[in-house]
Amino acid sequence: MRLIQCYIENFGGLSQYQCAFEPGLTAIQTPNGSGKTTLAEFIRAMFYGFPRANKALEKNRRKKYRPWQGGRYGGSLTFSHEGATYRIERFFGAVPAADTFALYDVTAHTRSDRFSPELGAELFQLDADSFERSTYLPQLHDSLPLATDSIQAKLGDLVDDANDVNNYEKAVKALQSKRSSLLPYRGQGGAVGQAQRKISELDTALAASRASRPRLDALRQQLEQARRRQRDSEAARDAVLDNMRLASEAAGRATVSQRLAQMEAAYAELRRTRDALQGNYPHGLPPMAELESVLRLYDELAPLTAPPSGAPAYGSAKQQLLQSGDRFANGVPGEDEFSAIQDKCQDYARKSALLEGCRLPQEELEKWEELTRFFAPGPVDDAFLSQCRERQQSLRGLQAELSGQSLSPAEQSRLDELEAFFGCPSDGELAEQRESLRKIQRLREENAAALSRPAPAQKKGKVFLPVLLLALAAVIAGAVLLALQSFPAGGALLGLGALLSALAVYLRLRDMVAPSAPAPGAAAANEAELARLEQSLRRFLAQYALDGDSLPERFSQLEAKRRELLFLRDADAARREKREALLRRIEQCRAWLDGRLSPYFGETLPDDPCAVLQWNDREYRALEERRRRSLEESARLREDLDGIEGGIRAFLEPYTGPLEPREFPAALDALRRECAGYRQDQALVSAYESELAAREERLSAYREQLRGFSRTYGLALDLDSRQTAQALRDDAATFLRVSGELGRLEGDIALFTEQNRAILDAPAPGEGYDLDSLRREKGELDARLSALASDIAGLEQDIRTLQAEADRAPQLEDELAYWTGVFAEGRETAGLLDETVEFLRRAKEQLSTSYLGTIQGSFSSLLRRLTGEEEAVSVGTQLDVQLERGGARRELAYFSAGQSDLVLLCMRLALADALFPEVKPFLILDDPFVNLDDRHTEQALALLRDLAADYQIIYLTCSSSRAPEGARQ
Amino acid sequence: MKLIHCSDLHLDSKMESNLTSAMAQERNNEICATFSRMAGYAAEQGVRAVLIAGDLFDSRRVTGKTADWFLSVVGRHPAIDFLYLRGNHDEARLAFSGRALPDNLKTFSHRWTYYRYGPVNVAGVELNGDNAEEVYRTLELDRSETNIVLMHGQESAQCGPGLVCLPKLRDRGVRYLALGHLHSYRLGRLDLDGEYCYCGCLEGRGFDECGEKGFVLLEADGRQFSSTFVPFARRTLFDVPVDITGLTTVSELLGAMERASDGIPPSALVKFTLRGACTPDTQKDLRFLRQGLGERFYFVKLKDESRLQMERASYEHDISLKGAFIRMVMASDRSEAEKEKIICWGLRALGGEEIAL
Repeated sequence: MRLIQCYIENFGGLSQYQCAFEPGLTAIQTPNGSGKTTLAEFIRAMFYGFPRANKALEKNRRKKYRPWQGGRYGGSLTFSHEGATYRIERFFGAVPAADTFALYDVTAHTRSDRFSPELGAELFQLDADSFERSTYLPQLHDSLPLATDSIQAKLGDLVDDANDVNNYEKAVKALQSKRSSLLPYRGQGGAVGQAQRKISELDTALAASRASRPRLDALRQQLEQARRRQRDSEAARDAVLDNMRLASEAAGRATVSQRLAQMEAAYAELRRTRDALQGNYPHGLPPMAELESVLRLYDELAPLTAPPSGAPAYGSAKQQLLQSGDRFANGVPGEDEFSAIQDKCQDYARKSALLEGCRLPQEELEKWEELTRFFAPGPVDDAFLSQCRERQQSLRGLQAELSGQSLSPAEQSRLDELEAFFGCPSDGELAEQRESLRKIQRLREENAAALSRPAPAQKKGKVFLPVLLLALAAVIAGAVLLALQSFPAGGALLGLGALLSALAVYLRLRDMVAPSAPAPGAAAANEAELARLEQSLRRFLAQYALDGDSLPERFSQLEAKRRELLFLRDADAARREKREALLRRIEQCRAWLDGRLSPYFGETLPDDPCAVLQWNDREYRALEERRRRSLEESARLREDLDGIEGGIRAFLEPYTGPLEPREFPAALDALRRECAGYRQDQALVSAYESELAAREERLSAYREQLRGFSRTYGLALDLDSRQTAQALRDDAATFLRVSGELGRLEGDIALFTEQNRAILDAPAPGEGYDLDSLRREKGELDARLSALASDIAGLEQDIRTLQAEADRAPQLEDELAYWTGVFAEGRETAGLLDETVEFLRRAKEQLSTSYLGTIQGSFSSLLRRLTGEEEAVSVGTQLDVQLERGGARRELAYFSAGQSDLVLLCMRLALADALFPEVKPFLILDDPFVNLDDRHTEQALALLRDLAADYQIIYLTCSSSRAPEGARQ
Repeated sequence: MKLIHCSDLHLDSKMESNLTSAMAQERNNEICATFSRMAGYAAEQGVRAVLIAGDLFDSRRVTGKTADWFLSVVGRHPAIDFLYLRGNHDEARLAFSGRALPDNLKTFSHRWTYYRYGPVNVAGVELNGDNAEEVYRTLELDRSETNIVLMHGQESAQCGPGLVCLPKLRDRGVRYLALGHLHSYRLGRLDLDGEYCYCGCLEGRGFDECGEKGFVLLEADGRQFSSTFVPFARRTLFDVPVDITGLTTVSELLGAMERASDGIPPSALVKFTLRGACTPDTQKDLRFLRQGLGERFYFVKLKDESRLQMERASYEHDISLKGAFIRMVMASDRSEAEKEKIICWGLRALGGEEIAL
């Protein structure tokens, strides 16, 4: 690996800067600010690009090295590697995405993909930071510490698998992340923290739940005690209830005795009443049924003693009968007779109405009379009517035909228009003009053909003659061959000759038929003739109102109009002739019909006389028939009415005198009512007289019954008043009630005595109890029980509440066990993760020590070359160097800047040796010897010259005192 | 005459199978439901009495809800007597405190209590420190009857608290010694005529209670007597060993576990125990494996008993960070399991792989 040259287009303060590098030492001495560090940064940027942006300018290199003067930001770097030469071209944008990278194989002059934009890492196996710390040597006291992961990884090449070292940091972070997810290094989060919080919550809840258990037991004991007290109180209340029962029984016995005495007193009173009644009736009291019968006799007898209610009506009826007695001396007509006469009256009225109805209505009668006058000339028959109808139809047909014999309005209008505005040219004129038009067209065609075919005449005959000659030659040759008896060839040639002859004939005919173009002089004559003809034709056509532009178009329009006019004229004349013939025939028909029909219709016939005649005939015949039937029916009805009238008069007139037929119904009704009243009076008088007789008979019978009853029981009943009988009935009822009550009371006393015998006969233990005090005592016990029930309900409620709380314990225990397990497992896992990290760390340290020996050896050798002294040094795993002074190892901070720079220079060179044991890279030294004295500077420069045998060294300095010989200015 | 011998329901007990709280609650409910189902079965079969040989409840964890539920199940079957003998885990005084007991719930005490059902005589006693010797002397049985003795404890040749001394019950006329305490069915010969039996628990609760669980149906007809174990559990627990030697990827591990659990019903609770040897490269992602199998079974538990197999030669001269790390861990005094974890995590972290805890 060797740098060859670089070209900086724009980078920091450098612009259009080119630099070639020597294979060994390239020393560049330039003043401060001339771009040494920028050059070093450029080389780094070519290999690694820029890291991600950092806000601080010192760390934001993209910003820091943006060209001051503007322009493209970047450049190229040429280097050799493994025998090939490459050129890197990198240009930078404002952001990494705008960067461009290209790699060219300079040897092959092609673009190369040997390395990616990360070619620094790919070439040196170091990240950018590590590259700086190993191959780039700035002023050295700023560059601690040296060891990065990448350097250690690169140093890990000393071991088998550098990837492990490379991944160490990630691995540790991953393990620590896992550990944090379980148990954060700070705070209370993570799964363990969550479990701890959960455990704390569950502990609290479980303690509460468990605490409820003793309270629950205590409450249960209280409940048991309360229930015991409840049972005791219930027993006490039962005892009180027993005592109350005994007391109630004692009170009941007193009540029973009192009730028995009352019953016995009532019994004695009733007996006294019964005995008194028995004394009042020595013959005994009649039974109640008999007494009720007697009272009913009085009830029936009372109305019989009053006068009958129909007496006034009876008197009036009797008087009416006496007055009407003569009139109905021969008897009163019966209802049947009235019904029969009434039927006859109704029949009479009905038939009278029929008689009226069978007459012809007035309008029909007037119509009949009118038609009789119409047909006074004589009746008509079907034959006559048929003839008239035929004539009438003929007339109509002729009239219809006549109406069709004229032009239609449109035709007539068109004819009138053509006649008025179109002077019709004669056939001769039209033919002459038509010929002129043809001539014009022909002349035009000729002129046009002459223009399009400039020399047609030269070609005529040019084809015809060779064809004809070929035909003749073929015929001759065929004839010769035939003569030589070569029939196929001869025949073929003859056939060919025939064909060619036919072709020659055709060509000749075509030339003859084809129009010949006029000669140039003739064309001019044609044009003159054409103008004349067109003018003449235009003049002719101008006489007629024609549309169109071209002459043929206007001419054809003229012809069409003329044809139309002639056609319309012919049609009009033909129709006029036919109309005259039809009019004559119409007149004949009309005369015939007038002769036949004017007797009926007079001079003016109706539009359709035959139809009117036929209609009147039919109507007249129908009216005649109806009139005849009406007269016959009237005669028959008149006869019936006379018979009925006689019967009615025979019935009514003996009572009413002579009557008009219209008076029949009223007279019949009056007579009917009169007869009904007479018969009613007869019945009333008869019924009243019969009732008087019956009443008298029943009064005698009742009185006899009452007298018999009085005799039987030794009583003196008043026959006209029921007072005594009623008093008797009341006494009998009282006797019966008292007797019944006595019997019932006797039974009740016996039953009551029997039922209460135990009470009446028993001793009285409850007599000593005070029922009221017992009731008070029971009330107190009830109140106590109620309070106890309330207490028990409250305790049960509390127990339920506590039970629910206590019941949570199992679940809480389960959850607690679960979270305790999670906690313990989490802690244990976190501990193991910590140990894993620790093991990894220690393993890495152990591994580091394996390459430190190499570095330390190289370092000591370089330091000895620089100082010429043997130094006791030690190198740590972070490549930190300690020197032994005064028997103790001391860090570089204890030494001077120059000593430190010497040590660090050696350390960096030793590190480079270790990092690149085989292929040596370039080293960039950015004025690292500023703190060295002259001797050490000289020795350092000498060391550089020695190292240049193995390394390509780019040494940059601002001082001539630190510049080696031959350094570029 | 039919009777049922059951025991060790451990209602409301803690689940020993690492179930979540919700699943543990559900499982407890299922145990209750199984007891209820057993009572229904007893009613259908015309069983006269159900013998509960102890550990109905689990110490003080009994909830009021469960106690009420148990009493309601007993109350719903008045034709069946429930002979409840308290075990070492029972605390019936607390369970039924303040509650009215149904008439058909019969209990025992520290002295022999006898219940007669036709030709069958049931005698039971609750053992404690005071009566551990005495009960064997005070037992009175008529040898002409079918005698069932109900006790709770560990079978033993000695007498003592929680011990059932079998020799002292021999030749005493015991036809069937109904025992509770062990959670798996076990039938043994007591003497010439008699047998002793642990009916086991009704439902398994932890993976130390794998296999079929249920109760014993007893049938006595004159001198004829038989006992039949009736598997009745709603769910069965299985402990499935899986040898992962030679397996590397999770899909290989999952496949091996699926093959090993083939035939196990989906309602089961399954514990997979990974055995054999594995390497640091073995993708032993237990969470992934648990999720992969979680949909196949009601509950899946994984236990890793596999050992990390590392050839000393493979790391002894490995001059790398990995080699130094392994050597350092292996040289430490950590337990083998811890070493395995540390090495696995460390190597996975160095390899940039996900660290499965």
